[in-house]
Amino acid sequence: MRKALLLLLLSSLVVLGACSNDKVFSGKEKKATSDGIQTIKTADVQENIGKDDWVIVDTRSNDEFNGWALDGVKRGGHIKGAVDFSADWLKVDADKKELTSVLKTKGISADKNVVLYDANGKDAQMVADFLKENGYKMIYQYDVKEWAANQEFALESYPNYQMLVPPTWVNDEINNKNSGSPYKIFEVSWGDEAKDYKAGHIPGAVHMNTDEIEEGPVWNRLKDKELEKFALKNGISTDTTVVLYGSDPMPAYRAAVILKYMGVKDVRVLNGGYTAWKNAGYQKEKKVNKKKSIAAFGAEVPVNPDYIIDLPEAKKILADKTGSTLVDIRSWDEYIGKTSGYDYIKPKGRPAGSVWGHAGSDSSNLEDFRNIDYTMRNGSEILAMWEKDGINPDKTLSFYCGTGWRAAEVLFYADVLGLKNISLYDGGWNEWSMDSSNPIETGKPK
Amino acid sequence: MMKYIKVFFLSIIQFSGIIIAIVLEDLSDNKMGVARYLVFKKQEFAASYFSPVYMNLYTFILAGGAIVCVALLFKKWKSGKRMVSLLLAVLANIIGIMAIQMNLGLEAYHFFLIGMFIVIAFQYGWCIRSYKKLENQRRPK
Repeated sequence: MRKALLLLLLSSLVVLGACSNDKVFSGKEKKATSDGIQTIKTADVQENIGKDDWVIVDTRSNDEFNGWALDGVKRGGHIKGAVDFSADWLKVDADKKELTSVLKTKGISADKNVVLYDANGKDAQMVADFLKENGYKMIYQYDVKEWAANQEFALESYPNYQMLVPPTWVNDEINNKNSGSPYKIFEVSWGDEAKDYKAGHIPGAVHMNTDEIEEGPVWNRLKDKELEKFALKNGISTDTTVVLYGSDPMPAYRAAVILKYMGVKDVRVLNGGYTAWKNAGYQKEKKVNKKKSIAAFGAEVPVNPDYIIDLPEAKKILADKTGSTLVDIRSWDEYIGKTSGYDYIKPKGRPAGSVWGHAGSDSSNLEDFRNIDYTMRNGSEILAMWEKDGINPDKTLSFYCGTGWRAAEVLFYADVLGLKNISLYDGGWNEWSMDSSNPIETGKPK
Repeated sequence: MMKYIKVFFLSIIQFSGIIIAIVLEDLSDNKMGVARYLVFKKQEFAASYFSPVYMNLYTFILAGGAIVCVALLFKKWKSGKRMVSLLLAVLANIIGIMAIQMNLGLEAYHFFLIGMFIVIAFQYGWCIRSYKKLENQRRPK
């Protein structure tokens, strides 16, 4: 009996010892967390980056992925080679199928070893729970603060990530009053009714109607003198830090691009729009804040004339096939001429020679450039998408859409990514199609 | 009873153009797509069916219609017959002329004009109906 018990004990020890061996770690110690997700050490992350059977996933907010140093990290940005799957996306009221499709797009598959990293100890857990629900088993957790603390470990951030701001930054601006420098926050949407604004806005924000910066029937930006008057009426000078946002972020990007064209030096857009502000739990107010005008803009508009171009320049871009590309930021159906995309634009097609650069499902959406929480899509994915489309970011790129809204958002993202020689062709398909002598194409490109 | 229901529905159709114009005008304050569509249509109408030449033509037609209606109204009044529909036709013509000339600055301006023309056309129909009724009453049985 005693011998049998001893044998049983020895066998158990042998079995336990065998189970604790892990071929992947090559002898390094691993620690099992109480919920079964293993923590991984920095050296192991470093060793396995780039391997086909490993994927490193940044579960933090899109802002942190882009470059912002939040949650106590010493340096901002993401681990070079990592993909993004933010825990914030799990909070969006979206079809779970959409999220699993995102996993597939980013190569986060169940047959790989998935390293989830965060800085607050919560994001990785949330994403891990989601992955476990979807049958993932090989999940590891990592605290990126360790990586960020060591200058030798590479972190990537977008050259101009500061153009897209997180809610914390805006909140700090309000509390610190931009350290005494002039700043303005605008909720940008169409119409004087300002339904979105009146439903609740960032404290101190003023409503900006997009009709203040553009006019029909072409829906181009106003003439330069009129733009200057608009700036003065809204209290904006070249030195004002201007923060723009909206429930629908597209109008904010439209205004941002026009302000940059005019010469405002510091233009920021709240990444993820008003939803990001609400999700961060910050205060909102309903009282209507009045515009406060100023006397001088500080420069002759436009300071950056090449940031927005018109029809003659667009034609030059099309003529310069080797060095420039006119990029179509409309849905595929609009590009091939199946639909014009708008009730107020009759002709269908595209300027002859333009290249499709992706957009979204219709004229109001931009899914190919946004995450499901309306933050900016992973820059590497955008550039990879364009590479497939034959769009070379080293060339002069000018973006257009129907009337300049979708293209403005994409131009802003391209600017965040640090692309040079980029512009918005303001008139877009609306202006191009108004003159029947402008060459057009329809159908799939040859 | 059926007669009144018929008159009611025909009146709805008569004013349907104006109702649509009011709805579009209201929506143009709330929906960017509607506002831009109306800007586009304004430009299209102004270059086609509502060009200055056509606007002058419509003014003359309505003025002529108003004069004829006033003359008929005067004739009927002298013979002791009241024709409310004629009076309304005169009024509609005058309002139509004012709408054309004043260019009301409405987003759905041309839709209002189309609505007015439908009202006037129907009103002429009512006048003809009333006239026939009066004639039937006058004829000895």
